Amino acid sequence: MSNPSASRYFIPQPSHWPMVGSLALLLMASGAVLTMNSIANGGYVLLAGVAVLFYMLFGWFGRVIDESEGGKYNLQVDQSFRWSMGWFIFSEVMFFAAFFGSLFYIRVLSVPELASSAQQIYSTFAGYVGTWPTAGPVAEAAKTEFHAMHATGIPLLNTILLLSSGATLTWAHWGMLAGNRKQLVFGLFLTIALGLTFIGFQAYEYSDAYAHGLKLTTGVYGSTFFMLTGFHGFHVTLGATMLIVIWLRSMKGHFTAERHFAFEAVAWYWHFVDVVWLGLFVVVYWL
Amino acid sequence: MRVIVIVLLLAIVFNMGRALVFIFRDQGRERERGVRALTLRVGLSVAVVLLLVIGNQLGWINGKL
Repeated sequence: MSNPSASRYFIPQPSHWPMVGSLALLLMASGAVLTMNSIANGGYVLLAGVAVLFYMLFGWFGRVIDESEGGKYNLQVDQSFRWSMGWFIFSEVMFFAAFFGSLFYIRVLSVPELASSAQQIYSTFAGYVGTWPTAGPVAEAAKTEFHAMHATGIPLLNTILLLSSGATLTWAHWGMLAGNRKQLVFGLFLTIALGLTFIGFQAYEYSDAYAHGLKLTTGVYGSTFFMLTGFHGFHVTLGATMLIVIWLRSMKGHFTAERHFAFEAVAWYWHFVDVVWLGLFVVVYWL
Repeated sequence: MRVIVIVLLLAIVFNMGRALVFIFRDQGRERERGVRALTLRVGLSVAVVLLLVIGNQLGWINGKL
């Protein structure tokens, strides 16, 4: 081991940030309950919770960054960050596996089963054949019109945007390893710009879908479409936020070619979000 | 066509997994394996999109994969 302090167990100073985080969660949960029950000022309590949460995120992460840049972390701490990233990634993979799984279940089992039983048992829905995309037998009996999404156009454009962002990020990654700060900073900037453009187009696509009658409430097609692409969009927003932090840190001169696990973790997360989109693009728009 | 896309997607997921393991294990200067696996996954993703676009243009897909 090159680091002489690697064998020592790092114990951080006592911290008030977990307590602040708990307060944020308490305020957010109470605010949400008050808002849902239409009790006055519930929204303010919820907003206060979000504000405290952001205060905690800035304060706690800032402290960790300061400790890291101050050279207080040895390889043992580095390893603990890797484990926490590993579990976070595991939970994310399971999260999306559940949504992809539900779409698979609906398309391969539920809808064909409903269509076949509609002919035999439910005479009200006798005409239901279950061709995907479907809003379900009730909506189809009511002659609900909706506009199915096409792969070409904005979805294809968004795929190219996100894929390009994966390429620029990889370029930045190689820059990091080569110690080329300019390449790193510019590559990150391009990645963030492409990611934010993706979110903009996604918002436009949603408004267009709503204008053409495809809503979250448009039966099983509408709900799976918006749940899958919506949660993905939320993850792109989170990934872009993390990339912005890494970009700002890179401009401040943080990270070296030897020590940059935070960059690697965020980069991998962005690639993951990109691959999930590719899966969605194929499964939701092409199949 | 569908089989090729599935194989490419599986190869992408496999390389993401490899990259994760490399990033998890490699420290210090010797950490090119992770970024190499990620570069490969970007290349494979480009191949998937190109295949879909070209297949659609040439009528191999007919609107649905």
